[in-house]
Amino acid sequence: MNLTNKLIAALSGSVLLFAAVPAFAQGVGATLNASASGASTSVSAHADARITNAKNRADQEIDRRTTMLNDLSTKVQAMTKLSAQEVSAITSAISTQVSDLASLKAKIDAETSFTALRTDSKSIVSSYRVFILVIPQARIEIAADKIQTAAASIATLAGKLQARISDAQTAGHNTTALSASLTDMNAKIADANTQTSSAVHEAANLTPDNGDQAKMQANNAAIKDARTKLQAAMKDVQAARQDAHAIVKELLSFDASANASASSTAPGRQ
Amino acid sequence: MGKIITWVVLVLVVAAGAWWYFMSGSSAPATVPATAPAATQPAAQGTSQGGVSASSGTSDAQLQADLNTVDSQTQAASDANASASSFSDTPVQQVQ
Repeated sequence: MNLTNKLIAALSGSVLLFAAVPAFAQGVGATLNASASGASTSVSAHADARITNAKNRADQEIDRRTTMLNDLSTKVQAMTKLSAQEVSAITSAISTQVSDLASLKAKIDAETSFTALRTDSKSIVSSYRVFILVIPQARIEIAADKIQTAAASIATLAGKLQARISDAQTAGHNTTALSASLTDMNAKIADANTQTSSAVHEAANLTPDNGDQAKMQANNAAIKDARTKLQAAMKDVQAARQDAHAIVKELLSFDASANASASSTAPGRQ
Repeated sequence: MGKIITWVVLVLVVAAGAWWYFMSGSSAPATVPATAPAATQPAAQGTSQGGVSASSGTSDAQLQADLNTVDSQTQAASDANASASSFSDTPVQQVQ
């Protein structure tokens, strides 16, 4: 009896054990599956985050460039002294850049793989070479236009001052210094126009280097030289402006002395 | 602590009042004493936008107005030149 009971107990234990093993195995498998699924979800979320991050960075850079280019375009349209051909050329360059950036942004926003986005990002970096050429070109032309605008006004004022100096000379005033200042003024205006025209010509004809180091250095040298010419033109305009102020001040002093003289010699005023 | 808050509020109120006073004063038309008879000083023409006009006359007032226009345009040129002379740019770094 005792032996029988032991056998029954042993058999029951074996049955229970073999019944439990599959259940245990099933439980372990479920846990592993859940873990693998969680890891997959995590990897997928990480990839999505990378794509979103890459898109955000790309969009930020594109928006930044587009804003800067549109601002420049507005200023270019307000230019009055440069030729229609020069205005058209720089306007076209800016428009092309804005259009290309808009296309690139649309492409990036539609991308779903990180590999494709990486290629687009390289495109953003390579197109930066065009961007950093167009911006200085446009700014040089805008500055040249402003300098020529000021020079034109000073030139018109110089004509008026010439008339007033002639009147003052006729009235018996010593106008030698005034004439010298006016001559200097006209020379400065002429040089300012020469320098700005040269700067515009130098900057307008540049083309993107497309990775050519020699061309990049030549472009940089040309931009630098154009800027130097603008600086010289600006100094000319400032000197001409100072001449104009000095001449007007002297002419007004002639008037004041003439008025004082007239008052002191007027009848009834002793 | 309460006193500090009171003083801070008081200073802010005084500063705001001063700011309002100066702003309202600057927007009011300035009273310029007449320095010459109107008959001999015709109204000056020309603005910084339009430039100096050759047909606007050579009176003293007009020359002064022309100088103001030249000053304004020279300043605009100087600003544009400064912008053209310095171009420092930092692009948003892209994922490589």
